[in-house]
Amino acid sequence: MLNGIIPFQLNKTGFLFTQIRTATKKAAGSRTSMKDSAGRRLGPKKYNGQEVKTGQILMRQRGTKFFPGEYVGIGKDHTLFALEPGFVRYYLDPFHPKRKFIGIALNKDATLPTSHFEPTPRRFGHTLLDNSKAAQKEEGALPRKEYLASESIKAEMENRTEKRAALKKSYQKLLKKLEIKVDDINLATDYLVRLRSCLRNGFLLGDAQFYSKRYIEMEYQLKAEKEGTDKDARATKLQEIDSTTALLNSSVSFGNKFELGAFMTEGDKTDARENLVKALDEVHNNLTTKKDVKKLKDLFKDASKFLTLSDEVHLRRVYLKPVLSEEVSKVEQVQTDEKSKTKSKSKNVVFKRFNYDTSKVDVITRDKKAFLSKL
Amino acid sequence: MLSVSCVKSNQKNIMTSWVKSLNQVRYKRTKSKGSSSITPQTQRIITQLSVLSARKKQPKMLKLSKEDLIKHQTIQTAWNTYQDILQNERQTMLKLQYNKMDEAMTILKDISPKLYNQANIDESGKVFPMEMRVPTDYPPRKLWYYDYKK
Amino acid sequence: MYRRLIHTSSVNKSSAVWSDFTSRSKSLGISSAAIKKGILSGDKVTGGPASLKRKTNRMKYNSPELIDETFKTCYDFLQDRSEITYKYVNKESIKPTLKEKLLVKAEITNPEVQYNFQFGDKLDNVTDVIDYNQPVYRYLGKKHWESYKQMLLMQRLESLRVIPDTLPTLVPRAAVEIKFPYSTGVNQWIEPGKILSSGVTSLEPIFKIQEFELVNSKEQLYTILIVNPDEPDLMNDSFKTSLSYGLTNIKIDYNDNVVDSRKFFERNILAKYLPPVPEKNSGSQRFAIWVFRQHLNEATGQCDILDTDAIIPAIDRENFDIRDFVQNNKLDPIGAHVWRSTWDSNVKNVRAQYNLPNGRVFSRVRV
Repeated sequence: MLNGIIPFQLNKTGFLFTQIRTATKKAAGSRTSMKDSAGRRLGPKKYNGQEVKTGQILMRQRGTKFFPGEYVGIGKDHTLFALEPGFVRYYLDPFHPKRKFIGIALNKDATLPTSHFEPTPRRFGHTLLDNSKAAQKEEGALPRKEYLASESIKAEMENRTEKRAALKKSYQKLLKKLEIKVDDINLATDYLVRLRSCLRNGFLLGDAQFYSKRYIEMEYQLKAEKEGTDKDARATKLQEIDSTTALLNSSVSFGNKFELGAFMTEGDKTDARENLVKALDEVHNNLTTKKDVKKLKDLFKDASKFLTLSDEVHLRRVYLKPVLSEEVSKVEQVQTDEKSKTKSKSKNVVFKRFNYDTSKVDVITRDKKAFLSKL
Repeated sequence: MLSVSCVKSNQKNIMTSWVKSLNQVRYKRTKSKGSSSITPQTQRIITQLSVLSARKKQPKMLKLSKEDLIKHQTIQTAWNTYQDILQNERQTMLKLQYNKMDEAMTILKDISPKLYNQANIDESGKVFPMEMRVPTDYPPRKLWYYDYKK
Repeated sequence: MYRRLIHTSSVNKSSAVWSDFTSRSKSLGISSAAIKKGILSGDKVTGGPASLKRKTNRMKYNSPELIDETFKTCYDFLQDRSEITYKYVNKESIKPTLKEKLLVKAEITNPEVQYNFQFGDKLDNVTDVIDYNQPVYRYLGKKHWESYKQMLLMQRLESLRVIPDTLPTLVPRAAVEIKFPYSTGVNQWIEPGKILSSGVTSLEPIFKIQEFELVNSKEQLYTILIVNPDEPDLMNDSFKTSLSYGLTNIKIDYNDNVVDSRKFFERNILAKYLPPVPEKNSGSQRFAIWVFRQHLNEATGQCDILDTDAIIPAIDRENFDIRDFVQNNKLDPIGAHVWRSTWDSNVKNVRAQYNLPNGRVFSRVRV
């Protein structure tokens, strides 16, 4: 009876008893322990060695108790499922010693993990379309984007072939004009068009010539193989390609703007350059009117044939300078100063410029002649 | 009800007497607007800088020409090589010193083990006396200024 | 501290190993006289750095203070150190590997070499500027390649599973680049893993194999293979590897290393080029390029030549086992590359060009 009674001693007055009901305490339950949900049916759904199809669930779990191995995918709730039909394998991987994996072996007797240095076992999965009608339909089907773009691509291709044909025609004319006799004019123009595109793409001349010739050769060889041309005919044709390209290489050449012209040796080019510079100097030294400027510009008309692009740009900069250098025209300035006293001021141009040395703005008076556009 | 509020106000009074109020109080302006230490020009600059991002306040990256970049790199490599040489010299010197010390100690060990033991007493934790100064013929009257303030 | 160096160097007349080009390669100096002068003796007198093209930019440019003077002392200092190294190199009875290392050490601090390498074209190199016959440029080239392109290549090879699907693994030692100049005339090196259209790949590629290591380039021969590990194998419902192109016994140089049809003949071809012609719905196919060093006999110093007459009949192009081939012929993989091809509407033209049968059509959905 005294078991359930705990005595408390009070100050000199006696005992006070508090009683605790041991057996029946909280038997009615509380709010917190009433929150259980139904079981989530977790756990393995397929076991080692079991055959599965694509998409079948292998394991339901909270967190990654098992990791997805070969050909196994993982869902947002960490459910593992098969990505290929095959046989389930539960395995350990020495690359991740703390993980357990579930994988799919494609063959019944294959073991996982496959060795790190072995080729991965793969399944093709697509079936051959035997029905010729269905196959044709499938082959003709294009992705939407490609289908929508096909019209414009076709138009662009046509445009290109037209341009190429026009170019070929112009080359044909030029070859006739230069009296270069080739056996197969089509071959020659094909080669030239190809050479031009190679040069445009930045190949060096030697490489461009070789690659263009080889392209023509390869195209021919493939064609000959297809048509079953005999050996001798092939050899003669290849010989022809060889001789034609050699002839063209030595009789025509491309300028720096990729326009075709008669062949120029290096010596010819340097001579032409010298002549041009001489003529330019002559005109430039007494440049007074707009006519002279036009003359100067006209001298550059044929320059692209024998000058490299950088050289041409350089010469243009030198001779068609929009504003003359001030050092050259210092003498001029003195003259103009003298002249300006007598003549009207409208012949001079006045402008301001910041001087970096003195950190001040200078007022500069220059003769109109110093400006190419104001002649 | 009334009595409660009365108690509260009383408490407040007691509190204010020894705790500083957290509320800021605006008093009448005593300084005139212009008499602050910052001039309006500087104030304007400060405001402008506060608006600018930190990246723009950094000095511009040096733009070196190709030549100067190579020169700069060469100077850097030369400096590093030179430092390497110095380091090596220092290391070899220290090594030689250590070897000599080692040699001397082995000889000492053979000659007099007692002296050797004394020389090997652990002195870690011992500090250089701060007040020690170079002995001079005419020392100052006051040796150390204990109340020195900068 | 530096001043002391200046004094000593001015007393003992400074060496001129870097400015003496009687025995050294021309590529170890800057070819442009103006820039060379600007670096070595300063460009304040000439009116700004010559590398700046516009005159206004040159006028506006301010170089750091005292850079020319400081550079002069540093240059002399480094040159003296280089001379010491050169003296050591010229001693006989030195191992070739050590000699290579010392030559790198002697030239790597040379500002002219640094200028040439940093601002020169490293891929399509001009031998007057970057000459890979020089150990320094090989060393710098290797470092440059390792800093990006090698990592990119390995990332592509691994993520596309070219290794281990073709060969188990690769320790890359040479930079391999490919280009298709015949088919399109486009002058562009292909980035590893790029998806190329069938038109581009319709004719064979050319290769560039850049060696950085010390090899006997007079004897060393190379083999190049292109394999496609994604050829559908309907019998086994899997894939098989086919050989698209094979070249062997190819000799290259440190500089002259572009392998196009000027570099080889009919007898070097193991397998003629077959272009990628993926069938509809068969997925994208990887075309792995493997470059091998052939076995070099240490004793005789001669390289094993692959006997094409014996090998070609034994090759099964449709079902090619690259691992066996490599093992049987003692090939050492040093570099690789990869591109991808998918079906496109031009494939049927390529098939017609090569007289190949019409491609099969597979179901769009995998079952």
